[in-house]
Amino acid sequence: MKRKKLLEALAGWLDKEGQKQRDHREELEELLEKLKKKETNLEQKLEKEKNKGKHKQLSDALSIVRLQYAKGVKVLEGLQQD
Amino acid sequence: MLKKFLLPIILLVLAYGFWISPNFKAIAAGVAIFLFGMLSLEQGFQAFTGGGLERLLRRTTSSTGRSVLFGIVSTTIMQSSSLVSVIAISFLSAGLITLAAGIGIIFGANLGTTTGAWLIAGFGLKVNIAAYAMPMLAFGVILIFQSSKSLKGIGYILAGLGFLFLGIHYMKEGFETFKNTINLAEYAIAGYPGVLIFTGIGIFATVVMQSSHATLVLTITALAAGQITYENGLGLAIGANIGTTITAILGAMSANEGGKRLAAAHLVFNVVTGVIAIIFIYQIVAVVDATAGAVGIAPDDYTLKLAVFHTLFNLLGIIVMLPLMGKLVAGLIKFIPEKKPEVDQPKYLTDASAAFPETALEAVRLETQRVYEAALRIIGDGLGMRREEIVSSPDLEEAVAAQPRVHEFDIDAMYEKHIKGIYSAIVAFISGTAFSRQEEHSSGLRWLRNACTRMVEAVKDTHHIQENLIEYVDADSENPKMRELYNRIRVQVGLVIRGLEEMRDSSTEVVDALSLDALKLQVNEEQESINQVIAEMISQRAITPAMGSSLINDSGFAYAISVNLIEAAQSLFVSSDRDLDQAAHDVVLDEDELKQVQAAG
Repeated sequence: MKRKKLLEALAGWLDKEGQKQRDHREELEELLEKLKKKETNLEQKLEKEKNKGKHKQLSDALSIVRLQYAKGVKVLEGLQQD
Repeated sequence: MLKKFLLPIILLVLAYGFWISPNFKAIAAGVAIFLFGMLSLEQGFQAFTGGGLERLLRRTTSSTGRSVLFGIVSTTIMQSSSLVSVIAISFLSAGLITLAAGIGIIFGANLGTTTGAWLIAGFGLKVNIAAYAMPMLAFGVILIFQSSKSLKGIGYILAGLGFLFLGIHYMKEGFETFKNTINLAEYAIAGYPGVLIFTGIGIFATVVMQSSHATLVLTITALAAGQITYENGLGLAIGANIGTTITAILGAMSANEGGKRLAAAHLVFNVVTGVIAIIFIYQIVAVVDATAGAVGIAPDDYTLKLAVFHTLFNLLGIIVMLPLMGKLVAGLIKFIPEKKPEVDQPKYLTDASAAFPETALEAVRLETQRVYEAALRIIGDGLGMRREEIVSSPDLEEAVAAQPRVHEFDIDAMYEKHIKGIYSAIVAFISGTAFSRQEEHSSGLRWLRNACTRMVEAVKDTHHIQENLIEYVDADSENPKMRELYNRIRVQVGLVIRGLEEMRDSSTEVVDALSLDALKLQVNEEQESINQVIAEMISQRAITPAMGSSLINDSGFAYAISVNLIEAAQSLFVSSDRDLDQAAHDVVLDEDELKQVQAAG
C-alpha cells in the first residue's frame, strides 16, 4: 500500500502538467470556500442593515459574490472533466 | 585589463605544465572535471528552483537563526555556497528577503560549505569513488536526455556528482604519481610567512577557478599525498574561504544596492573570519587536535583534521559576527546608499532578480506597485484633489465643491518622471526573462504588465480631461451647471481612489480584492446616472450641445480611468497571494456579468 502511494506521488511529481491541473483545482476549491464564507457573512450583515443606501450596497456585494461563486464552480467543473 | 592578461597567462602556464609533466596533466584534468561537475550540479539544482526552493526560502528566513540554518542546510545538500549566495542575492534584489536575512544565509552557507571538506577527506580519499562515478555518469546522461524537467534535473545532479568523483580520483592519482618525480613539500614554508603566502595562493586559486570546493579538494588530495604540509594546507583553506567571495561579488555587479550590500557582507564576513583564523591559527590548531582526539580522528590524519579546522574557523566567524549583525547592516546601508535619480528608475528589476521565476515575478509586482502608487497620486493631483483630501475628507463631494478652481498640473512631466522609466523597464524585463514564455509563470507576469498598461492609460485619460476641467470648474466660469457636473466627475474618480486606498490599507485577502467588482458596479451606475443628467441638461438647454459633447467625452474618460484603476488594482492585489491568483482571475466578473448584476439590482 505504501509502495503504491509512493509510486503515485512520484508519478504526480514527474507529471508536471497533471500537477498544474491539480494545483489549479485545489486553488479554486480554496477560493470557493472563502467566497462561501464571505457570502454567509454578507447575508448576516444584510439581514441586520436598516439603512437603505447601505442595504443596496450590501445587496450588490452579495449578488457579486454569488455570481463569482457560480463562475468558479463552473470553471472547477470544467477542470474536473479534464 | 587584468582579465585581458590573466587568461592568456593561465593558458600558457597550463600548456607549459602539460608539456613538461604528464602528472600535472592528470591533476589539471581532475580540477577541470571537478569544476565541470560543480557546474552540472548547479544546473541540476536550478531545475528545482522553479518554486519549492523559493517557497522554502520565503518561509524560513523570518529570523536570523532560521536564515543561518537555511544557509547551512541548503549548502550542505547542494554542496555549492556560490549557488546559495546567488539565490540570496536574487531574493534580496527582488525585495523578497531582508538584508539581515540575506546575511544570515551567507553566514550559514559558509558553515554548510565546510561539509564538502568532510566528504572529500572522509569519503572521497578513503573509498575508490571512481567506481561510483561511472554508473552515476551513465544514469545521469540518460536522464539528461529526457523531456521532463525534473528528470533532467536529476540527470544533471547525478552527472555532476559523477564528474566530481571522477575529478577527485584524477587529482588523487595525479598527486600520488607526482610525488615519485617531484616533492612539492620541499617548498613548504614554516610559520606565519608560510600561512600568509599559502593564504594568498588559496585566494588566487579560488578566484581563478571560482570554486572554493575545487581549491579545497586540490589541497586535501595534495595533503593526502604528502605534497604540502598540514600548516600550509591550513593557509590554503583560509585563502579558499576568502577567494570564494569573488562569485558573490561578480553576481552582485548586476544586482541593485541590496545585492551589492549582501556581496559586501559576504566579503566582510570571510575576510574577518580569515584574519581571525590567521591570527589565532595555532590556538585553533590546538582546539582542532583536541576535537580530533575527542571524536576519534587519528593524530596523523591531516586531511580530516583540515576538515575540522575548516569547520571550526567558520563557526568561530559566525560566533564573532552574529552579535555584530545590526552594526554590519547599518554600516552597509551607510556605505552603499540607495541612489535617488532625477527620473524614477526600477529598483528591483535586475539581472539578479531575473535569475529565478519567483524572484522575477516578485520584482515585477513590486515595480507595478510603484507605478500604481505614482498613478494614483498623478491622477488625483491632475483632477485637483490632493491625496490626503481624497483619503481623509469626511465628505469628498463637499470638499471638491468648496474648491474655487483646479490649478494646472503638468501630468506629462509627472508621467515622464515617475512612471515612464519604470513602466518601460517592466515591459523590457518581462520580454527579456527566459521563463516568461513558460506557462506557469507567464500568466502572473502578463497580468502585472496589463495592470501597468491600464494605469498608464488612466494617467493619459486624466490628461485628456484636464483642459476642460480647468476651464469649467473655475468658480468664475459662466455656467455653474458645468462646474457642478465636472465636480461630479472628479468625485467619481476620487471615490474610486479612496475605495482602492481603503482596500489596500485594510486587507490583503484575495477575496476582498475580488469585492472590487462591487466598486466597478458603482462606477457603472454612476456613469449611467451622469449620462442621464447630461442628456436632461442638453434638452433643458441648461448647457449648449458643444458643452454637452465635451461632458460626454470627459465623463467617458473618467469612467475609463475608474475602470482601469480598479482592474489594475485587482491584478496587483491578487498577485500578492501566489497561492490563489490563478483562481481569482478565473472568477473576476466581466463587463456583461456586471451588467447582469446591475439589471437584477
